[in-house]
Amino acid sequence: MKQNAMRTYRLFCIMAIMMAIGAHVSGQTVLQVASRVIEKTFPYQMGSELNIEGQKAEIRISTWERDEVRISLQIIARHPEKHEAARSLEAMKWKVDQHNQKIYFRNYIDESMHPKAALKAVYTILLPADCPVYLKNYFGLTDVQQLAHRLHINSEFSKTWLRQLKGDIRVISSYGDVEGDGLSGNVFIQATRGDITLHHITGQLDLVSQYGIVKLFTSPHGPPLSLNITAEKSDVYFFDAQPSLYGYRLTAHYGNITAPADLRFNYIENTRSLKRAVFNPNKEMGTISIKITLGDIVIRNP
Amino acid sequence: MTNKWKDRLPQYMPPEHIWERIRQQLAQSDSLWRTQLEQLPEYAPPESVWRGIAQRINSSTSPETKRIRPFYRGIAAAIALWCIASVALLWHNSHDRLDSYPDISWSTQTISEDLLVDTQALSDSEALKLIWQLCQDYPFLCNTEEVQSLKTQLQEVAAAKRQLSAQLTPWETDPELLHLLTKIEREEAHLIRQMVAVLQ
Repeated sequence: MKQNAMRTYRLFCIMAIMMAIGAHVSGQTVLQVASRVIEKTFPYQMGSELNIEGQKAEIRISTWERDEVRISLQIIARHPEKHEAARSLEAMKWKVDQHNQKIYFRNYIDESMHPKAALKAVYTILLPADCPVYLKNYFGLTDVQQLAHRLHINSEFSKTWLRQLKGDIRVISSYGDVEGDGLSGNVFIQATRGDITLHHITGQLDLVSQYGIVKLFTSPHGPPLSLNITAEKSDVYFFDAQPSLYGYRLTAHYGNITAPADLRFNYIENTRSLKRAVFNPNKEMGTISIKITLGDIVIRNP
Repeated sequence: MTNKWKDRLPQYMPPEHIWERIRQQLAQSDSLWRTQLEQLPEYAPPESVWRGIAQRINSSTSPETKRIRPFYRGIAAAIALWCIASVALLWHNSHDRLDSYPDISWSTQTISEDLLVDTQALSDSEALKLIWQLCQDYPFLCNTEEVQSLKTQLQEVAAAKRQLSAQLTPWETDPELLHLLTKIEREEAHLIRQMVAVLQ
């Protein structure tokens, strides 16, 4: 018994020493992390809307049952020196304003202060599902869930997550991927130099892609889908368990169209530079229109 | 009590010759001391000693000395002040300033040095600079539609890389931004390869 305890203790010591040596060999830097939290709560009424503009911001929006809009902003600065982290934290400015029922919240980096620390702003926003949201984000991340009325996003160099959204959704993104799950309603997404990946899509979707990859996964037994894609120098992948239940209008300039064997397209044009294919199903679950230039269209059973 | 007994003691007056003898003895010792004092040898210090003393007296009272001393005193005071101010400033920076932000929360994060962003390496690549130089020196090479299209794309990607790089510090830990930077760099490399293939 005593010997076992000794052996375990020795093993533990050896592991601790090896871990310490490993950490030393790989080379690690300890960063001092300074953070400050700002919290604001606004009453919500019909007609209220939220405008957010973030720089280097991680914006997370979800809904709750209360008639309030609560915004929690955490500003973070990371630097090996404590003093520099504290100084740089002051360079991340934030402003809040309210005009009638419109709430404006903004953060930005004051470059004149020459911050040397890595700065970040983390928004955690809770609001009623009906509250319209207008959002701009640069060099960050946006994650929006469960909104049901209106969401407009304009982002650059930011990844965008959209989950369980309804209503009027409009996203314009450059240099940032857009990923969605459970989108329905009237959706418009334009991504330049970023990929679009959407799961469980229903409703009306208009997608524009440049220099990216579009991957779409339908929802089994979902409501009808109307999909309209314009793409340039992008590839479009459409995944569905029963792709022959949709009507197709496909055009590919300098690209290829690939489909499962049971989906027999009627090719109106089929040259090297232009391919135009149509398909009319017996029972239509939706229509899919894709126009692509310098890219491929791929339809698959997952 | 003491006074009572003292008053009862008998009193005596010394005879006159005793006083006379004491006076004579005192006069003799006084004359002896004076005689012997006169016989003591006298030593005069060498002339150089007096000159040295005189010089020192003169120099200590010269106006130059009067001027130099306050000057050095001023410098000493300034150095002392500077030292005190430096220590105070250091203390202020390291302690007081941090204490003046009571709303800041502190924690630490350990990151691998392999993940640190080399912001110096984010400038335009040498290959890109060579392509711009080539198009400038031999415009006919770059006048084709394909090269123009690639050039436009490369310019866009290079501008995006510059924009993103400007936001990054070596201590960036945001995985999304680092992933995006990698993606842009890969796209730039892909376009450069395409461009080189066309220009060959």
